[in-house]
Amino acid sequence: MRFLRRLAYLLHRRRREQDLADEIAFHRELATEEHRAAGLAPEEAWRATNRQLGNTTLAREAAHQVWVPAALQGLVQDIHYAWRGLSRSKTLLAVACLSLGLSTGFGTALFSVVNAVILQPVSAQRPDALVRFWIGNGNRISWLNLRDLCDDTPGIACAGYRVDELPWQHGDDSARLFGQVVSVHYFTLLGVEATQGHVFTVDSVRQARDTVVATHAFWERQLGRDPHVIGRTLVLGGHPYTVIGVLPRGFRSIWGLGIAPSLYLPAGSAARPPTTRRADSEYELLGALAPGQSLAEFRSKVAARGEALRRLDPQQNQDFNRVQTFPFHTLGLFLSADDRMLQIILLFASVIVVLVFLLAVVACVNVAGLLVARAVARQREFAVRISIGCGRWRLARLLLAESLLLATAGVGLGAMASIWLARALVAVPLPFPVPFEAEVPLDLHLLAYLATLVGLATLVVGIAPVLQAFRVSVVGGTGSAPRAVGHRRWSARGVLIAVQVAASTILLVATTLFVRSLWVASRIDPGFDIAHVVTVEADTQSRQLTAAETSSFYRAAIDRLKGAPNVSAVSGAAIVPLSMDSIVHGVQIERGGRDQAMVNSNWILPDYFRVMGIPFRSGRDFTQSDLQAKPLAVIVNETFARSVFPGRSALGQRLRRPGPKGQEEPWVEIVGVVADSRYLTLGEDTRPQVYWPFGPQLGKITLHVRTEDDATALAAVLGEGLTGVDPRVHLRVRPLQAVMAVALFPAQAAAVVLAALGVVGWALTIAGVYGLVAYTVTRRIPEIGVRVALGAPPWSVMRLLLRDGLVIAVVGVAAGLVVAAWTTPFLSALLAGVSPRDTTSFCLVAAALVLTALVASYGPARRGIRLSPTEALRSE
Amino acid sequence: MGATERLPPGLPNGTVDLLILKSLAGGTRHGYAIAQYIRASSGDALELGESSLYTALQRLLLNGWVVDEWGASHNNRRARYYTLTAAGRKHLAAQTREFDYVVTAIQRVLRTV
Repeated sequence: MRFLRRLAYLLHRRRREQDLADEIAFHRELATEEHRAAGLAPEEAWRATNRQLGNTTLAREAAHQVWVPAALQGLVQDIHYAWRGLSRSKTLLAVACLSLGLSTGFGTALFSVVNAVILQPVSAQRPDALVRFWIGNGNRISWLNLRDLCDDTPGIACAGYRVDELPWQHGDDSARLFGQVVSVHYFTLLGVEATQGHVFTVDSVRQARDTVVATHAFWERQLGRDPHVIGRTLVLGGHPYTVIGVLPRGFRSIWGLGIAPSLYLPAGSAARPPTTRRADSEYELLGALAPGQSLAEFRSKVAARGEALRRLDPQQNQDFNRVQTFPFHTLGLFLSADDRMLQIILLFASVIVVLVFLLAVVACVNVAGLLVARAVARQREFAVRISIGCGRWRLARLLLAESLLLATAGVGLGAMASIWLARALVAVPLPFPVPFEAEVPLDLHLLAYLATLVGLATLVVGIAPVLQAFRVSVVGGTGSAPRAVGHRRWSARGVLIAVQVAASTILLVATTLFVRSLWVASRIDPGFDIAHVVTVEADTQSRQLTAAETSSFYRAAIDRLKGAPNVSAVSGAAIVPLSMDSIVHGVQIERGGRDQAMVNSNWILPDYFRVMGIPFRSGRDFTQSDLQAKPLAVIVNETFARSVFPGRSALGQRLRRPGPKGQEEPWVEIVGVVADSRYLTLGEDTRPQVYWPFGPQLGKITLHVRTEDDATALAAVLGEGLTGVDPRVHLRVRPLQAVMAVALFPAQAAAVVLAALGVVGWALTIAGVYGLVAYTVTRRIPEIGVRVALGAPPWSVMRLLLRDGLVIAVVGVAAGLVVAAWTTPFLSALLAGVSPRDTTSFCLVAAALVLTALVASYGPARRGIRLSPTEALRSE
Repeated sequence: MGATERLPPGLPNGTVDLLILKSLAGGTRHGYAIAQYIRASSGDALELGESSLYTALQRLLLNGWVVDEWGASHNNRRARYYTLTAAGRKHLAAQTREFDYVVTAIQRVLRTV
């Protein structure tokens, strides 16, 4: 309340002061009247009143101070004064703002991008309650099972989903969309409502099946913010779909990392019609624990329902009473599926925060150096102030006010730059077709972070000049004593620069290590040859080719491709590794060390390993005769062979997909063992993998083409050779590298970010060292004059000046290296393939920084030796 | 020219505030009337100067113990009238008790031999 009244006073200050003046005037009139009534003459009465009541101005000031306490008034005065002082040295202001702005701007932008892309939870009312689960022997279940499991089963809240690329025809154009096919309960499970229209409900899908829910971004960018979007028709995969809803802005998909499918379609709609086989692998499952429900209860409910489904169709729903649950991380599926990835990403985020902090330190020390120099130059002024009665604390307060102003201006500038930079960064189109959406929040966290930064910067920047001020001697400072010619290398400013060089050293060592490690990581051998493969995907779906037509299209296409120039081999596979697509299921082993194993599967054509450059460890490739509806031969990878048949040869062993008793699938013989390769992510541990031959019918397949030349060049021309095969089919030809861009992107992005951090740190160091030497030269002008006058040759003066910067730089670098060597081992978890005390990185940084110091010193030093002795001596 | 303010030095803190609050306990008054009241009721022993009076009034306003209002005086001139608030009345009661307590205690000490 008092605060509010104070505020009201300040807002109406002029009127309140007038009130008081009027009131006092009234008081005096009455007093005068009283004196007159007592018999005094008018003049006399007036004088008596004034004598009695005293000084009006004093009264007014006393009243004013009731409302505005002296301390506050002093602060306002300080800031006002500091501003006047600073605005006179514009260069200092500009350099400080730039230095602080650059570091905080860049740092804050990174912080917000990391925050926006990684650290936002998926959109769900209770993300903690979500759980991933598998039922039966695989990670996916069929449409029929999905319906029977998730529709109207008491005690089980679950939904199915699968990612899907869909052709969208608008006008004459056809674009591929990244969509997600979900079961009816999906949005109810998440607890998400649409902002326009509505999401899928049991009723809405029953009434109209071919409907679609769009994301806000899709509505904004692709549909041009159409105000009448609800009810609009989109042609997807050749079928008309009606838009029924638009999701809220900033909706985070369950994938996390800002990955955002553009459209959601109901499972069983025209583009993804209901399948009739219960054994089909189609949808992955997401469950939600009801409030109060334990994971065990949920699992047993699902198992009971699974048992019913198994009894319904024992052959196809084998092992359906078996349920596995996996934790769902609130940051999204990508981080749930891969612990290592989660660890890496979170560590990466914390490393960014640490590096950004170091960068801020470097910048603050830079500005502190400038202020110390200023304080030294102002010694005379300080001395005068002190000698006429300014307390040292008051002087300190004044200097801190200057630092506060500088810090606020710098950080404010940085904050504005960062918002712009972060939005620009997030909007950079990604090198792969996965839609990506991240809101850069301008929230309290960010503001608190900025405020802390201002506070820290003020202290760090301000403390050194204050110490300097306390050392001012009144006698020496006012100039009545002779000034000493000479110079201390380890003045406050020298120490600051050494600290700055040390901080830069640590920053640069850390970033160099990371860039090197990411470089190594991005070159982690995926186990196959990325550079020489082109993939061909065909949209046979939009024009609704029959299964037979599709199959014959692919066969004809393969023949054409084999005859194309620069092509050395052609094959095909159901799944392109590292492209977000995966199929996991169980297999039975005939006489193995274990009788069950979970494997990653892929279906391939002969020559696949030749095309991909995956070497055979033993055995043979598939041949045309292996392509049968019931396969008789499979190929496994080394990890499978080693883990299932330890110490034995896997060749000749037999396995099969599980089936009910009496109706088992036939045993299939392992005919080949190939080297390991990555399947879902680059960072994963290699998993057991089984390659099955395609059947005689070719359905969902991506053709793989090998060239010994450049894949990108081949991709550009390969499409033309295929146009004649079937004019109805829309083709997409891309180098394998482009398909895998998703998997390669994080390492590349991280390397760019860290390199940029390093460059900014470096630039600040150069500025700091340059400033130091320039300043030293100015301070030593008289000394240089004396030396030159006494006959010192220019090179010796040059050496003298360079040595200053160099000694400080070497000490700083040495200290930095020691601290870095001590701290970097803590980062070893993040440094794949690089030792945390990697000698090359350390030497490189040390050499680079010392060289930087030399170069930065050279400019000012040259100015020093060009001084004429008379000029130099006159300045004293 | 010094103000002829007649207040004994070394009064406990807040005495002026207490006197002003007391003078308003009887009803709304303007500044001059407050000064007159205090002079008259103290038998001309206490006289508030302009500075102490109006600074104290500002302090009372800030604390919300009094509210002000401009009105017409008896000779039909604009005057600023102060009124005790509920919070002010409570404060007055509490301060009066405390003052009594302190004064009694001091007197007791002074009367011992």
